[in-house]
Amino acid sequence: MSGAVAEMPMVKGCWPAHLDAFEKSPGWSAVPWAVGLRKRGSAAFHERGFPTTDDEDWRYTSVQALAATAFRQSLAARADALVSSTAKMFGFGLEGGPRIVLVDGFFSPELSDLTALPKGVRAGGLLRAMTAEKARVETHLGEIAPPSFSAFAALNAALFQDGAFLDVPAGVKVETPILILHLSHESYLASHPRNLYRVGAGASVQVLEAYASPSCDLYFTNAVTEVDVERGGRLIHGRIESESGNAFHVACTQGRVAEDGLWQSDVAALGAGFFRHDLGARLVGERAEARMFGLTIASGKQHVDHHTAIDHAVPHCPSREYYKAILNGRSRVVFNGKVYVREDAQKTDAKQTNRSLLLSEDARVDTKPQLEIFADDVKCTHGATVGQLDEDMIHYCRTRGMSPAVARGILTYAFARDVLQNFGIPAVKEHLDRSLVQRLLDAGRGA
Amino acid sequence: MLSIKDLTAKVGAKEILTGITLNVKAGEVHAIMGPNGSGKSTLAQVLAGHPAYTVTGGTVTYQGRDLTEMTPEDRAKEGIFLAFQYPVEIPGVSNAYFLRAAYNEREKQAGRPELDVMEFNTLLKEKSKILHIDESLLNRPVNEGFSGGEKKRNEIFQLAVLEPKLAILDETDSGLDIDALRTVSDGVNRLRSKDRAFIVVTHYQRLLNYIVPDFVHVIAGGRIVKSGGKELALELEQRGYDWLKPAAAGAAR
Ligand SMILES: Nc1ncnc2c1ncn2[C@@H]1O[C@H](COP(=O)(O)OP(=O)(O)OP(=O)(O)O)[C@@H](O)[C@H]1O
Ligand SMILES: [Mg+2]
Repeated sequence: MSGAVAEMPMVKGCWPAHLDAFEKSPGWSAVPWAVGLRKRGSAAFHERGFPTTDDEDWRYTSVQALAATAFRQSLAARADALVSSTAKMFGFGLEGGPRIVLVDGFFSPELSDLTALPKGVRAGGLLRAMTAEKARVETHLGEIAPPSFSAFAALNAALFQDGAFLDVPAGVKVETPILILHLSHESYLASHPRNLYRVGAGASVQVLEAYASPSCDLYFTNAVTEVDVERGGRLIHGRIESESGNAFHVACTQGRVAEDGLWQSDVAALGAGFFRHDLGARLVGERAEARMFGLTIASGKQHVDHHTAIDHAVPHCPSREYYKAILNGRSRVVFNGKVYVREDAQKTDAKQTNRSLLLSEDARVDTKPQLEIFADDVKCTHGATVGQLDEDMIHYCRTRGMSPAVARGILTYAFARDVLQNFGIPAVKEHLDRSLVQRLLDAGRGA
Repeated sequence: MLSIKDLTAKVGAKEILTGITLNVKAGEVHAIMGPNGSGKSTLAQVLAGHPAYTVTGGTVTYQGRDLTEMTPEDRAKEGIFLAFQYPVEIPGVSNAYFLRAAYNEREKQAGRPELDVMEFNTLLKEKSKILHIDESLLNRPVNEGFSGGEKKRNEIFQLAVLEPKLAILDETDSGLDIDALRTVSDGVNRLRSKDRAFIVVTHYQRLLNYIVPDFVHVIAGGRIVKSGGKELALELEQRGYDWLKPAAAGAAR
């Protein structure tokens, strides 16, 4: 153990100051019942600081640059005409539909449109819901993704100002997908949006959670999303990370799925200089199902780290995970896929696949499936490949008249489409297909 | 159209073609038969420009040009099409997308305007009817999860869309059921024209009842050991290849 190791956990950067300032502001205790959660978050962060690469879960991902950046904090929402004109630019295929818009971590009622939602569906800002829908929020907030999860989850618990709240009551089927748009609007700002989605028994809904910025380049989004799918509920949960090139994005998305429920997570990691996502599903009722699809497109010096976990706690649950990454430039992608099968979880059917396409010699992938199986009557498979484009496929395309560059472009596009096809919100899938085709063709071509 | 002279080729260190001489004129259909491992697919792949095969001697002239100097895509754009014995699967690219990309490369080469999705789909539908290709196949990824026969049929579908000048069919009949064999043969026969030539590699005389060849050649040990008319196929059906092997050895001496 060297001196550096002992020193690193102490790195806390600007955060003690942020915590301090927030504790003294009215926001800290605006919702009295949440103060306990905030305190737990603050204490957890003070205690552990940021992880280092000695931490097994952060082995390939250094948060040094993030920890060293002096971010600013925003203690109150800001209305801004520019935001309203630019918010419309981001639709991700769901233009004109219901939307919850947040700016720098604050819910914006003006930019949101929830008129078309079926009766009984509660949707809007989390902060408001913490008071107005206290009973629906209090039991869940910080329970599914506790502050102890990570330094970032701790910071979020302490510092979150607002977020999106969605509650679909039992039996209600929401036909139109809901866009939950998180925009960052101020440079060097850190925001800690916190989302809570509840899907009641037999209810179903499609949500696209998207992160982007119309106006700035370097900022930090530290999001936490908690998901609860009750018996027989269905949540198709898209997540597009399309932040600006120098942004930092850390996210913790945790969900639990009851009996016969389904949670499908479709993640597109497209932007940000630094992206870390901890995605976890706990299957707590029989025949509950988790699906995780992921597409990462990285180039330049982007760093993308997916840590996923599926916890089979009870028998008869299926899970499917399919993550793909395309790397160019000097980018780096980490995939860690944990699958736990508890002693009782007989007849588990878990399948995990991770494929990475290296288009540049300087890009790097670290992939690690991690299956921990304590039941004996289960079907668990996993596979990981890292490679270049298939020469036989390139040749086949060439014999049909395509140049190697065109062939490579098409095969790269194909590589992505193969996973994109699984995405669960048709309009979003089409949007991604349309908006990524040129980028992928060019990437494969080496342009 | 195609003139092959004393062609030798190797894969890795192994010499597989030991001296092929073959002339194919526009409008002709040449059948190539021969024992397993004799070099039929190798010849087909060499003509299509597979990078794993090195031409070590002889000449191949196609429409007056040295074929061995051309890239695989140039050969394709100049009208050479190989229906693979083992078609490659491309997950994620629909048949329709793939074919349009290929088709438009050729249109570009010819200085014609490229077809947009709508125009191309019309063309595809037309062609799919001729070959009784299920339209759902058009939107499925190229060859992925296709049955053996579907893959072969898909190759001929591509052929029909791309309308090459020289089509090389490598065991397209293997794996086809009786009806599919007839549809595929019909498709090929419709494409027969005075401007187009076919080289058909097959193990079965049966195919040649449908696609009647002008010439039949037997390859053994990497060279053509016997050539004849369509009746040669019948003779082979009865006598096998053994009687030709000494001739091959004799010719080598
Ligand atoms: N890529 C390769 N590497 C090594 N050997 C090869 C390769 N391709 C072909 N060969 C060898 O070359 C010889 C000729 O193969 P080819 O595929 O041309 O035979 P064929 O006449 O088409 O046989 P079949 O009737 O079984 O299709 C075989 O012995 C084969 O094993
Ligand atoms: Mg062969």
